[in-house]
Amino acid sequence: MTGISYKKRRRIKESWGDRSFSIVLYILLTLLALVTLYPFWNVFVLAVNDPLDTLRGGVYFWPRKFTWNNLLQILQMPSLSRAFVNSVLRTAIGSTVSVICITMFSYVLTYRKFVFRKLLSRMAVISMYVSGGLIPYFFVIRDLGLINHFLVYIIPFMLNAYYVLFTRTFIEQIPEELRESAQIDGANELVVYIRVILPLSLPIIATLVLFTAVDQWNSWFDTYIYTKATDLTTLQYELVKVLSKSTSSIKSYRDLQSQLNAGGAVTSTPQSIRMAITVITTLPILCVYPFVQRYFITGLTLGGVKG
Amino acid sequence: MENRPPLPASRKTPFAKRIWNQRILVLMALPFFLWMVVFNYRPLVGWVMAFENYKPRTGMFGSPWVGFKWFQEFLGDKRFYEVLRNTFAMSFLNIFFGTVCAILLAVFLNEVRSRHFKKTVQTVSYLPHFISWVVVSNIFYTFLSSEGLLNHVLLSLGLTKEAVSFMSKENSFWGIVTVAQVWKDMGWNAILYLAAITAIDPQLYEAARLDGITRWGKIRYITIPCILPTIVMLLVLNIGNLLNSTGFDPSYLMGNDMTINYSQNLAVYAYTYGIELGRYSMSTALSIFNSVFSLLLVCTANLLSRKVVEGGIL
Amino acid sequence: MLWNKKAALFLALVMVLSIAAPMTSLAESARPVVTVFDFTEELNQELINKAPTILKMEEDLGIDLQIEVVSGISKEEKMATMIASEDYPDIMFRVDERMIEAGALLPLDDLLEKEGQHVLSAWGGSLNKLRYPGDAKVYWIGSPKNRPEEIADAGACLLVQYDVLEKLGYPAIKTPDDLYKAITDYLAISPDLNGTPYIPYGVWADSWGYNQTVNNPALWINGFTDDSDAYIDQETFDVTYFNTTDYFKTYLAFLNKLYNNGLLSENAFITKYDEFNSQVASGRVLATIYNAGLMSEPEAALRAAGMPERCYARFPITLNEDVKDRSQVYCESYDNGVGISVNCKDPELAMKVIDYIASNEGNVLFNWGIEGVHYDVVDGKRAWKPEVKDAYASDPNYRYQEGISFANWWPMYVGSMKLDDGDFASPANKEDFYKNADDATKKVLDAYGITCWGDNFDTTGTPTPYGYAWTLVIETGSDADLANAKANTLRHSMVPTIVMSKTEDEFNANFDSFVNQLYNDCKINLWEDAMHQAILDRMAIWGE
Repeated sequence: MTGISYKKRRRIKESWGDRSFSIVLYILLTLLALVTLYPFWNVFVLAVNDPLDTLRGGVYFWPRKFTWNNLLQILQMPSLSRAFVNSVLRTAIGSTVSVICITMFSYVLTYRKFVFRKLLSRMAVISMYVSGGLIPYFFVIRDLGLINHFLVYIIPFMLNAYYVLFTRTFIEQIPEELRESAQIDGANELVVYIRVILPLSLPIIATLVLFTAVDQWNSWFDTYIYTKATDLTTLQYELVKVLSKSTSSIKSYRDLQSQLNAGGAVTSTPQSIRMAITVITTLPILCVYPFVQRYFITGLTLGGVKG
Repeated sequence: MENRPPLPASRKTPFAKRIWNQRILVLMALPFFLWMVVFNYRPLVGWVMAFENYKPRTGMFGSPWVGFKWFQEFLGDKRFYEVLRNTFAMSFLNIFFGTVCAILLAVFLNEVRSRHFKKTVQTVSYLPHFISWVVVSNIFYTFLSSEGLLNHVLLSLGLTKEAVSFMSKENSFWGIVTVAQVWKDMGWNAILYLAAITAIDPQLYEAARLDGITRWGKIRYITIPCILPTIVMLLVLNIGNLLNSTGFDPSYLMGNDMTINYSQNLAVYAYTYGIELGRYSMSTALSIFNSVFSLLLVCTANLLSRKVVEGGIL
Repeated sequence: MLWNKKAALFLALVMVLSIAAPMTSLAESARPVVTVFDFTEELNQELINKAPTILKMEEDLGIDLQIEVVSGISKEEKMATMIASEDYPDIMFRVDERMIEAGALLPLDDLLEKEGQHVLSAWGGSLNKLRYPGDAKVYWIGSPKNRPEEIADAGACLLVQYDVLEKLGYPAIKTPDDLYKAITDYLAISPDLNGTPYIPYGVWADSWGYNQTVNNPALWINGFTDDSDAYIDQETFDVTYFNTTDYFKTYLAFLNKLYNNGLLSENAFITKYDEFNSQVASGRVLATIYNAGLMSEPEAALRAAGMPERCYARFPITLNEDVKDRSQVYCESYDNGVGISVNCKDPELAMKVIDYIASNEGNVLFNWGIEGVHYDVVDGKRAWKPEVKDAYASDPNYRYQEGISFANWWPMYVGSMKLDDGDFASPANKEDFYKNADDATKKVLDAYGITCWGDNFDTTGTPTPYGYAWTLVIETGSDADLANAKANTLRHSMVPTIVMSKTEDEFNANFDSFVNQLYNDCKINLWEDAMHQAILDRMAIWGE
């Protein structure tokens, strides 16, 4: 069936109900897009508006006093290049490792006859809801020698129970016959994983890449707590530092009071800088997203691969 | 040896033999087992802190035992129950509307034929996920203030007589925070459902088209049933998260003095009466309460889910 | 398969990178290394590592400093892990009793005798004020405040817009009643600002704004120094939770009066810091009792927007003429400073570093910079070069890059105090105030016959014998500490209701219910007792 004839037939067959459905759909989604886009547009406008001018409020649709200074001020941060390289490295390496581990572990859990299946899935589920708290976790990291080591960005991120269970549900839907036929050909489970499962799981891999990469890109607490050397600083941590210079983060009266009493003026991060940070954090994700997006937007489906 | 008759087929293969047969699977799973033990279960040693009066100086194993003192303290605190109520209400609303909206968005996007439109809407819809709560709270305060855009519109349409300060109304706080959370994460969560939708066999749709089923019918009889396992799985996991679904930031940053009795949740409670006062024992006790409660919830949800999805998720 | 090849290549790359990435090397140094942590709120202070003043100190002492900055984010968590793992650097700036309680700090008494001559001479008898009540030892050295200081600008006080004063012919505003009259008179002349309504009296009570705009104003109008949450009987030193007292109730009554006359909006109790700043910066807030130190940004915005007449004059305010303002009386007391950790291998060397900063030389170096580079001596007085002055005012990173006047918690003098040579310790002193003021400010200053806002205030009152009550230490996490945390939650939720009472009876009933709950539900009496004890303990040590 060629595309043209398909389209023609569709047009003929489309009922009144279907057409009104389309109209409602487009209106709804357009509204949604506007509602989500406007605040972001506003963030961008404030990011390129003069900080003192922003303080007066009332900047909604268009910058009143345009300036690149907010963005430039952040881009001129002293350890920025180092931080950027580290962030890219941890995102690339960390998310690759995570995706491999998550898919492999989920795949193992899809074998209904596997002896430890129940034990391992329960361990994974329980791990989502229990936590020993910061201090014991810190000791684990320290005893493994990960303090001040690049691998502290990779190893603790290897698995994520939530993603594992989600991926498992997906892999379970791949028809059993496919892996069985491969196994009859003499392939062991590892080979089946590499040859059969991975190629059929591209949409889920794309999703995992996106989610783990964003997790890596956005995390700063580990940099703050587990590293000391500025060599290991990350972009997000540097940005959070800028962000935190805000008196709205002051929770204790004493902190504030001791600052004021020492004769220091209390200044906060101007709103514009905060907005500039949001823009700078989101931009790389916006750039990478289209490459990932095609895996769940275009018709690359399981059926397509199968056929 | 060769003449030995084959063993009578036992109903169950011996355990050791089964392991040997599955050695490759076992080897593949082993690193992850170890990882979970080290990173998820070893830190649970820290739970002893909940039963002692932990002081940094004396450490985890040298601090004096106090039994259930910390549990008694929060279970006997009036405010704790208020906080629990708020946590449940906000999380329930968030999970319910969050899930419904994300599924609807994914399904609707799937129905869009124009590729450009689809891509644009999808990209735009997840943008709020990257805006921090400080900024989100700012946006909502500006929009809902008595001089804000919403009041401006309501007044000029004559729907209200005088400006309403929405953020200062106790009874609208849960609604506002739910809207904020759904708005922020709907697009991002829809990605999961979109990925699940890609697994649906297009032949099913083709067959439905030939049968003359309407588009709404396709959604109802094909798309939703096909992603049902994913929906149920995520829902079960989220129900287990009922105590944590609304975290520290939404409650702390969206709330204010006039709504404080309805905005404070468990995360803020644990921070205010635990970490901030240096009472790590107290925050550990709260986190144990949280874990036990969550596990009970997730098990119940799992049992219920067996009615919908074969075998449940655990 | 193409996909497989690509994937394999990528994997190989990842593996190479993950091995290569951690191989970062630290430059070896021949001089002894002293590691330093600074718990600060300030940004980019890491720049200070390469600042010329720090380099000069390293040269003079023959050491290599590695300064690390721990910013204000999640400070509790960072400290908790640091304490739990006992992983301390040699020197820690801005530490408080939490570090002492954790056993992280060395007592400095002996070290001071050996290597701390400059510290001892700068501090003299004030050293007692640094002693930890637990064992009467000194664990950290703060920024000394033991010399007379004439203030240029006020801290917390009454702030009234220049325009209000000008239109009313520069009246004397001394009491809440004067203020009320000034606001209503002004509104009669000028009902709105280009169509937008004014915010006649500024309050933001959310979060820490409660202390600044609700609790503390009540202290000032009753003539107290900053005892924060405590009302302290100056004879017996019995402590009462300030929010339960009639002193506090008086101020709430004033707010109630403003509210019922439409001069205070209910928005005051949901306003956050950003929102308040933008209210001020838009010129709509006519008056407020607030900390002037928090006004620098919105006032800069007002000037930048060409509305200098919307900036604020600073006045003392008290309930009536009989009550004497004590808001700017300095009650010498310290709550943090620089300490040496128990992990320090060479405490004597660390002490030398601290002593260097506390010396006259160190004071000049870290406040003024290097002679000829940052400042010149003109007519026997130090003065920053004009370009230094400009850069300092305009570039927020400059102070860290150059290492001058960057921290007011290092153990050196700051503000308008004088060094032994008779010249000011730091460039931020009173003499520059009038010179640097803009025309609008000068006009108001002239109208009141003063040269700086500090002149409006009497700083010569007798300090309390225990310092500021907010610097008092109560054991963290104790029942008293918990009671205070609970009371804090309660007052945030109840004070708005009290202020928004419609009638006097309702106001009184709400206030009584509030006080009741403080004692019955929050057990605030535990905190009162602990504070009383803390005052007695402190006075015993200070008296030595």
